Amino acid sequence: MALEDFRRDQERCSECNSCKWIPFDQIKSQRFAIGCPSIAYNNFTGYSARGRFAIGLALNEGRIDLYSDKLQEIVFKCLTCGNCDVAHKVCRYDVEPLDHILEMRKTLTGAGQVLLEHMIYIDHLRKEDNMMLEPKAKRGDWAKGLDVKIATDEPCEVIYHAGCRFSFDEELWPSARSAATILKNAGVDVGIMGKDEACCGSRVHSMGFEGEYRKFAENAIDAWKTQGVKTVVTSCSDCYYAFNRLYPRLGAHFEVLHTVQYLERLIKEGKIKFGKSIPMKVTYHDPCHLGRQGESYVPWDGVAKKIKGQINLFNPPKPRYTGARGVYDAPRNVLKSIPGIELVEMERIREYAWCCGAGGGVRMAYPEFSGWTAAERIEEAKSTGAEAIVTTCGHCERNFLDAVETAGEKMKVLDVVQLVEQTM
Amino acid sequence: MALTKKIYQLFEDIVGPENISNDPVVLASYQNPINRASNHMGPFYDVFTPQAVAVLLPACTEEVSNIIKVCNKYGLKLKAFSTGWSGMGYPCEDDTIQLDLRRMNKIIQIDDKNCFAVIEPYVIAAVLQAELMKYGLNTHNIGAGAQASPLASCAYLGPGPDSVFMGFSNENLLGGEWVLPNGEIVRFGTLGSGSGWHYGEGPGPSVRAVLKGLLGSMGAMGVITKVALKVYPWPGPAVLPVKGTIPAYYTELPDNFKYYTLGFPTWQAFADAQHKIWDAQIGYILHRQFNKMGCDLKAGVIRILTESDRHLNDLEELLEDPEVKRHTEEARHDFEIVLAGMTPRDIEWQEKALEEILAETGGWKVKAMQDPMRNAWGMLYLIRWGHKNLNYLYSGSYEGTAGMSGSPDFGIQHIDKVKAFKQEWDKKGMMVADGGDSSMGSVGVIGGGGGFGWEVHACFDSHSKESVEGTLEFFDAMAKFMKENRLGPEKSKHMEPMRQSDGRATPQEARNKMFGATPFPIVYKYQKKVKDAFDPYDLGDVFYKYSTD
Amino acid sequence: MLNIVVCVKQVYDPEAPASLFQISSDGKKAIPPQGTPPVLSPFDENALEAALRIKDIQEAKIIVLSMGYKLAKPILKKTLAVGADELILLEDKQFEELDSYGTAHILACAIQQIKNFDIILCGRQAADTDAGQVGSGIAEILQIPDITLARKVEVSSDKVQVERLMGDGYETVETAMPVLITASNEIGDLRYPSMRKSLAAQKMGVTSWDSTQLGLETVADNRVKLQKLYLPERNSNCQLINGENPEEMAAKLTDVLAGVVK
Repeated sequence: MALEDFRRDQERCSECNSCKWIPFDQIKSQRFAIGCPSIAYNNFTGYSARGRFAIGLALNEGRIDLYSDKLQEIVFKCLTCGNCDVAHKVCRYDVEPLDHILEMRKTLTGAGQVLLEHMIYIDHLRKEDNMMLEPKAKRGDWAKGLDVKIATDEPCEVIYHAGCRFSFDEELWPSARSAATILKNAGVDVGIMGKDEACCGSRVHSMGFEGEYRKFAENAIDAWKTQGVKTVVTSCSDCYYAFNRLYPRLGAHFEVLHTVQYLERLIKEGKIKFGKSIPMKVTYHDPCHLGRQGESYVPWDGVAKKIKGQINLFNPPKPRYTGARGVYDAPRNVLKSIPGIELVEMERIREYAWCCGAGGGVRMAYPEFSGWTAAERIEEAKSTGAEAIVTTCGHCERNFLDAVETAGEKMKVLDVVQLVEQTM
Repeated sequence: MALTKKIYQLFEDIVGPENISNDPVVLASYQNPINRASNHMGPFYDVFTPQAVAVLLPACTEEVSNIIKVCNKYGLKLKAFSTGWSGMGYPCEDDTIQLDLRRMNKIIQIDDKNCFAVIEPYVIAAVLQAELMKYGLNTHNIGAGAQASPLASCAYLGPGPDSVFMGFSNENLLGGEWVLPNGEIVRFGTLGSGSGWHYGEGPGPSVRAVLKGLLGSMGAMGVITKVALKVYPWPGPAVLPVKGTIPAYYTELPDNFKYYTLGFPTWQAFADAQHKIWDAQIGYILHRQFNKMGCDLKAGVIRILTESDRHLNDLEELLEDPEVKRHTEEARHDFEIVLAGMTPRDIEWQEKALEEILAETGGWKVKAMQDPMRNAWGMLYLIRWGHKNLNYLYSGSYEGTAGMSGSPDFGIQHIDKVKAFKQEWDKKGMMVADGGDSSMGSVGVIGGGGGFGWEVHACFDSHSKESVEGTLEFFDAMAKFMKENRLGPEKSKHMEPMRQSDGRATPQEARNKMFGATPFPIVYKYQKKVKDAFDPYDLGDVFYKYSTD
Repeated sequence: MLNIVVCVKQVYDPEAPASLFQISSDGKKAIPPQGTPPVLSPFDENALEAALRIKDIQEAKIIVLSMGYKLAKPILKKTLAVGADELILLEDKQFEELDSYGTAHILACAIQQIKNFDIILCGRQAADTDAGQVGSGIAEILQIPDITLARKVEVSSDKVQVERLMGDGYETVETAMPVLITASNEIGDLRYPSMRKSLAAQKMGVTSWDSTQLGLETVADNRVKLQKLYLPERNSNCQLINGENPEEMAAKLTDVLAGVVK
């Protein structure tokens, strides 16, 4: 694909503004009606899917210059959270705003129109295999003292992939350690890659660095194939998205599970027994990459066709990613099964959840925008009366933790896995 | 005059550096592509509205006023929009400042006792409705959908699916605040005499007629910055209980709400039922809606929209399903009705009245839409009115073509003729072959009932030059057909007098000629006087329709 | 103070996955790989590192020169982030597809315009064309000494000592300045820019000269004509030789090989 291939989307955008809001049917208040953080924070229409279609078309037609600071800002000041993609698919079947922004990014990075803030991370990633500006050598430290197999030393069926955030963000280590321990204690033949684990490439993919992403993806796929891995489990929604949605395009065929899905399975099978009660009112934040973008990849290779004169279709039918089949119930079911936990919902949930603000390279390049987006979510969590916002992604957790600290809030930020371990 | 650094600085001083831009990339995002949306000014393939010299995002009335004063001082024109969906909100001449009013998005007041809400331009109907429901109130939704600005349509007519119960936008306009084209701020209605927002005609300036003009001032007569709107009872829950998997969202409301699609054996029965419903004064929402997907396709499309695993690719197969075929035939002459009972007795009475009307006219409740899931989907669709984008479902664009507003008895005599004419054109393959009759519109284009406004949609592919050009040919042919059959103007030509096919203003001479040929040429001459009085610096563009003849 | 000019070239990332690399249908151009930013040619990074090491020990001003059209400033600004003092871009539509001769001419012309230069550093060859001609070309045009394949550069008073790679070791050569040196990777990787310096570099201005500003009325025609670019085809055929025993298999294999050789 190239940006030119998106001309049909650009010319068929109906400018209806759905992309700026959560689905109109789901609006419950003015306070929490907006869906796209980018337009909400930046206001000019270019910072919406609709505006980006107009700009993409202008680029394709040569009406604007590819080498422009403003263009760079408009293209990279988007969280790639995918709210626009969901909201407009309530009505449309032939326009792909999320794929379009990702393609715009690839076009810009290919031409070297990258952000220096991003290049700092990219240069580091090239040398140290992580997005956290940390030395490679510290990669496996999170698992020190854990009695878990190292997959490079002995074969295992299930790989627990910690991911960059959980591997290097010490405050989040307990989540990863809990996950690996729970799986092992439940009798799962689980192993970790330890210091040989590398970045999944999901984040750089969303930033438009296709080349970097592919290097990491191809390496990971090769390594797992060699080790006979059947299942990959991760506690990071970004990694989940990479393994579940992106890797199959490169020929990967592993079962991919987020830790909460595995936990849900183990609870159902009676392999996890809860002990003490945790009396706590919590609300759950759906990470974009586990929720609306958590739908599995469906192979497709088709061509456009028309029926009834001018109805646009694809032959065979093009997979429709609407967010309908994202992972929403597993984390909620796990939470509900924990004794004492009362789950209350925010207004924007499931496929139309508000983003945490960490995605798409925004946290690296536009920290204020990223922080504002997180603070918005904390406000929404507070409005439910919950004392904790619980999630299933290290990146969301980190952005919320920072937002809570900046604002001096009392809201607790937790991972579902931590709550499970606390009760066991 | 072009935008000099000095003038830019003056604007920047008003709105702040973060709320002004003349960057080419930003300006490109504010050019409306006239190839696609039904903005009644195209379609013209590969044409864009002229680029503004700068885009400004004001935050309040005073800023708008100050911006206008700078424009007038330096001979710049100004075009404002609220949500910017319609192409009329974009410049048609060079040296125009584009105002994007999205930062003016406050609901200033909801007075539940006196039934009005005070809002700014970027409060969309869906948001206002959600807030009003908490007070047991509801707002009129214009036909353009829940993403449209109720304020913007006050300076137009603004009919919609609920007009039978909640009137038109212009009718609902009470007190308000308006920045004149000379920059002066006028507080109108009771607000103008310091008596609050509650009445539109005063004491205080009564300006509704000037704002609306003949058929809307279309962003060319200053900027309305706040309005009070009359709002109406909502006998339902404080929050719409929405369930379901995208796109098949639905709502299950208490028993005092009923939604039906009503089918009739003939057009005459269809019209008779409308009269009887108006006479009985029942109905909360009354609209011919789902037929916009085309009389032959709607039953199939509704299944796709109500079953979340379905794909548009399933359409052809679905249309062969016997049950779908039955649905299609049952709904050849149909419209939608939502009943809302204010009390249990009220809904009981409304239901009985409807049953009687159906018995008298030989009508029925279309069975397929009585299916609980489809019914709950239809209910949500009609109440929230958040699916307007379905007009673009097939291929990214549509335009209203044949149609008229008036007595249903008159309109229905022509739908079949129009249908047959369109069916012939559909065979050329340039538009969606939907069965010819895709007529839709408000049953009750006068508050309380009394008129049926319908228009036929022609859906075309805005990405295909062939389709756009083929559809344009159809519009010309339909205009000729309408004229020959004395059916009034063809709707796609609605904006032709203002914007020509290069996206720019039509020359004055051509406009004089077109306005001179309308049934009421004197109105356009009169509007020139209004324009001269209110817009001495020619701030607004030609969308305020006037003739200099 | 020493004045050092470093010439760097922006190239497609040589480490981009092969699956992303494409050539235009006319076989004349590589298509920029989507989603893979260009990089500084690795040997040019070594040249810059050599310059920075000199600046680490003594007072020096480093000017980076890069030539082309629509150059990627965010990539080239990395040179400022690691410690170069000035970045001059020679950007003109006419500079887009020059060969080594043309490139050397434009760069030499710009260096003459800079006037004050003691050392010019270039990479030994560019990662895309691998021609290795530009450095020596510049030296020839400027009529100054040229030392290629440097693995170490040291400056003492008015002289430069360079360890120059040989097939089986290295030789140390010394010359007066001004001098042109081409650097090899043995000099060492380019240092990391710090976050702070990267952000500061983003705010630094960049000088741009086009052909007019360089006083060039025309740009020399390319002396090398590109015939065709193509992706190498790599085919491997595997044929299994079966047989009852090793002797039989060996015999069959010989037959097959004989057929191939024939």
